[in-house]
Amino acid sequence: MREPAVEAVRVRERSGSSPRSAERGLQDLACVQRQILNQSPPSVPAYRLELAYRPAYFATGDYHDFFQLPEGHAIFVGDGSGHGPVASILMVTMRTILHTHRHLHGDPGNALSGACRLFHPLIPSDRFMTGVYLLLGDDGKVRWASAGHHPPLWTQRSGEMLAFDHADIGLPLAALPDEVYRTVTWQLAPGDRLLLFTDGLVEARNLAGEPFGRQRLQELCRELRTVSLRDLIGEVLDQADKHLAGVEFEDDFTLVAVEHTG
Amino acid sequence: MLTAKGPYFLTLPLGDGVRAVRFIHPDLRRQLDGAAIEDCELYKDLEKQVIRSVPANEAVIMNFGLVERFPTAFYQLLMKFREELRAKQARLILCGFSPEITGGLAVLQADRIFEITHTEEQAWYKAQVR
Repeated sequence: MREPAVEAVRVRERSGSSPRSAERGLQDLACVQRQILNQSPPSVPAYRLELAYRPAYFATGDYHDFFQLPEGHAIFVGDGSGHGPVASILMVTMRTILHTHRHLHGDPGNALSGACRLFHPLIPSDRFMTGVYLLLGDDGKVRWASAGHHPPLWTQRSGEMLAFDHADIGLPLAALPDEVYRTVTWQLAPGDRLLLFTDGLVEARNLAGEPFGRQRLQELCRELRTVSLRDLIGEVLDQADKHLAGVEFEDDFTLVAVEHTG
Repeated sequence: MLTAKGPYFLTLPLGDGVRAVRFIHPDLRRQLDGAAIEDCELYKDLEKQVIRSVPANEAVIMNFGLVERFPTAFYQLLMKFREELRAKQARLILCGFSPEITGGLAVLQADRIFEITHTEEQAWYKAQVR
C-alpha cells in the first residue's frame, strides 16, 4: 500500500514541476525572506547603524538580525554554507533559534555556544553557518564572539585599524555540537566604527579574477572614516560595483556598520 | 604511476601508505552543486576513485595547489570526505592552499578540524608520523 505522503509528493511532481512554477516558487521564497529580514537597522542610543544586504540568488543564506536586550542591543550577522534556497533554510533555522530562545542572548560567547548546541542537531551534518554576535553596551563598551566568521573591522577615529587574534574565533556553528565561544571586549571611543560583513563582498571577483578583497575594504573604512556612515556604505557598494565592472555578484553579501556617537 | 585520472583531479600513490589527490582545475564550483554534498559531481568522483579503494591506515593527501576558488561547499565536501576516511581508519591531510584561501581557512579555524600543511612534501612527512 502506498504511503499517503509519498503519493502527495508524486502528484505535486506531476503537476507543479515546470521551470515556470519552480521560478515562481523561488520568487515567493525571496519575497517571504525579505519580509522576515530587517530592511533597516533599529535606533540604538549612543550608536548609529547602517545596513546593506544583497542576495545573489532568489533566496539568501546570509542572515542579519537585531535584538534589544536589558544589557544593550545585540547584532547577529551570519552566513549559511552553500547558496540559494538550501542556505536560506540554515538562515531561517538560526533565526528561529535566536527569536524563540531569548534566554540565549546576552554575553556573546554564551549566546553562540547556546545557539550552536541547538543548531547542530537541526541541520544536515555537512552544513554549518558562520557568524558574529556583537553586543553594544553603554559608553562604547562592545563585546563580540565569532563562529568561523571574520570579526568586526574596527576603525578608530584616528584611522588606526585594530587587528584581531585568530585565537578568538571559534568553529563555524554546527561544526561541533559543544563548541565554546570566547567573548572579546573592546572599548570604543566616540567616532570609532565597526563593520560586520559577510564574505560575498570581499570575495567578489572581476573578469580578471581579482577579488574585491578584505584589504580594499579596510582601506575604504579608513579613508572614509570622516564621512557619514551611510555615505561609507554607499561608497563601498559603488567601489564594489566599479571593481566588478559589470560582472554579477556570485554570492550574497551583508554589511552592518556601527558608529559609537558618544 | 597514476592510479586514477578524472577531469578534475589526479590520484597518485606516493609510497609508504600515502596517496595524493591533486586537483587540476582552478574552479570547481559547478562540480560542487547539489542539494546534499553527496549529490555533487565532485564528491561522486572522489567517492568512486578514492574512498572506495582506500585501505585502512592509508593517508590521503589532497593538494589544492591549482585551486583558486574555494566556496563553502568545498569545505563541506572535505568535512564529509574526512568523515568517510576516518570510518576506514584512513587519514586526510590537506596542502597547497593559496595565501588567499589560507586566510579564509584560518577564519574558519580549519586547522582544528583538518591536518593542513603548505606543501605536498610537508604533508608526506606528516603522513609518516602515525
